[in-house]
Amino acid sequence: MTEFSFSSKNKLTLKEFEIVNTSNYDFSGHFADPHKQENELKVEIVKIEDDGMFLEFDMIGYDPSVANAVRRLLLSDVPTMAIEKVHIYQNTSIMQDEVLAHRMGLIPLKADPRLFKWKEEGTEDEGTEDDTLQFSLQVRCKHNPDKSSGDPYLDNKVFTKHLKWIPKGSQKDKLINPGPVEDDILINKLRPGHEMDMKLFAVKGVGRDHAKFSPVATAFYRLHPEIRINRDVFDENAIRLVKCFTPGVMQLEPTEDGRKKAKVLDARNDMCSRNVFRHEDLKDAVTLEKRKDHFIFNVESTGAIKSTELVPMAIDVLLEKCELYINEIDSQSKE
Amino acid sequence: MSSLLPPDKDGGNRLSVLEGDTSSGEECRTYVFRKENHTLGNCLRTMLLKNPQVQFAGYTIPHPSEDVMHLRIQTVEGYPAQSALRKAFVDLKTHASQLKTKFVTAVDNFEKEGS
Repeated sequence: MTEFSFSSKNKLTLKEFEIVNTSNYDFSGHFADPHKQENELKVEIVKIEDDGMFLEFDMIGYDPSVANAVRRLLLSDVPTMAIEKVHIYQNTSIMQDEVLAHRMGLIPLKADPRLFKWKEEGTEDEGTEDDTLQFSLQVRCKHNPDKSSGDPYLDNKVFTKHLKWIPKGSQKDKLINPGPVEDDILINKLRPGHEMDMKLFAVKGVGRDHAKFSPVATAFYRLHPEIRINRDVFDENAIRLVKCFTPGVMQLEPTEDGRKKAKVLDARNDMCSRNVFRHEDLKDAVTLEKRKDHFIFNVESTGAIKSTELVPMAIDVLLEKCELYINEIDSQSKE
Repeated sequence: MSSLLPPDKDGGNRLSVLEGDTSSGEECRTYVFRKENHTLGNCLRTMLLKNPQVQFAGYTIPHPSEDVMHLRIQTVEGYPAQSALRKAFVDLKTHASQLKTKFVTAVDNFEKEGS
């Protein structure tokens, strides 16, 4: 049983077995809101944590295609540096060469990709100071001569802190510590006699090519939920109703005649579990909706660039694309 | 500082017109974009539909294995489809710039409040 509604209300409704009013009425000639006024479009920052690496912000009034474009650009079109070529001189550990090389590629590096040029295809792995970052990893595991300490081995766990940066040319003046973001990422485990000796070359790339080049741990958005109470619910039922939602979303407020009533405190943090539909008597008491034009973004950076800088970079990529195509159109029409 | 976009190894134009389409006049065109996907396609489609002189706008990705996007534009008489496309790009650029400014301002205000 679907409700067909041409209402231009910008909310979609979560019902027990279906979600209604999800479509955007964007076909030609339908001008419910032609070119929204600029002051109706808002961007609000909610939270910046972890030294700028974690960001939560809201985009209000925008079209879902633009919000999705920002999300997709963050994941796959903003460049980063990552290890691409691995020269293995010695690897007597248990881990196979290719598995080890794959793991090296996934290590997030602090290097700023904006300081590097794109490496041309077909050039040698060593590269130049403008397009390649070189690291070396040399570890040998030995028995621990100090019998008293708990560890029977020395250097049996290979961490990212064992990676050494080999500056090329004038890199040592321009870059400060372009190594791995975290020092304690476990790369490999060794036993006495095992040795690893490799040279690693990092280049600039995009997430589209390989996910290791994605600058975000992840970037996602959700729509802002809304809960409307259709009829007042008291006492026992109110307690059950409050429990249906994520903690902090609804609360009980005392009424004049000593009873407790359920009230919506802040629908923002609701995880939309639709738990309320499990209770036959409470199903009709609330209407669950989401605002179609209010996007709550979460951007978490891997550590190379701050999230507050990643979003403008993503939009810059979109602007560059537009510029590229405008130039192509102009040059083609001159022909 | 080099461009944010990776260099195009294959060279040539990223934008071309689907052959066999030019006979019905300037108002109908299918544009073929190399190395583009929903990121640009959906945004362009939205901008095109905001233009009252565009009668039809839609995009498709013919096969996921090929990095190609087709954008079909049909406009009112007298208004070439290419103008509609160029206007859509210009509008998208303006829209994105405004978004970037709003974001950067919001971050600055947030950081000022915090300190």
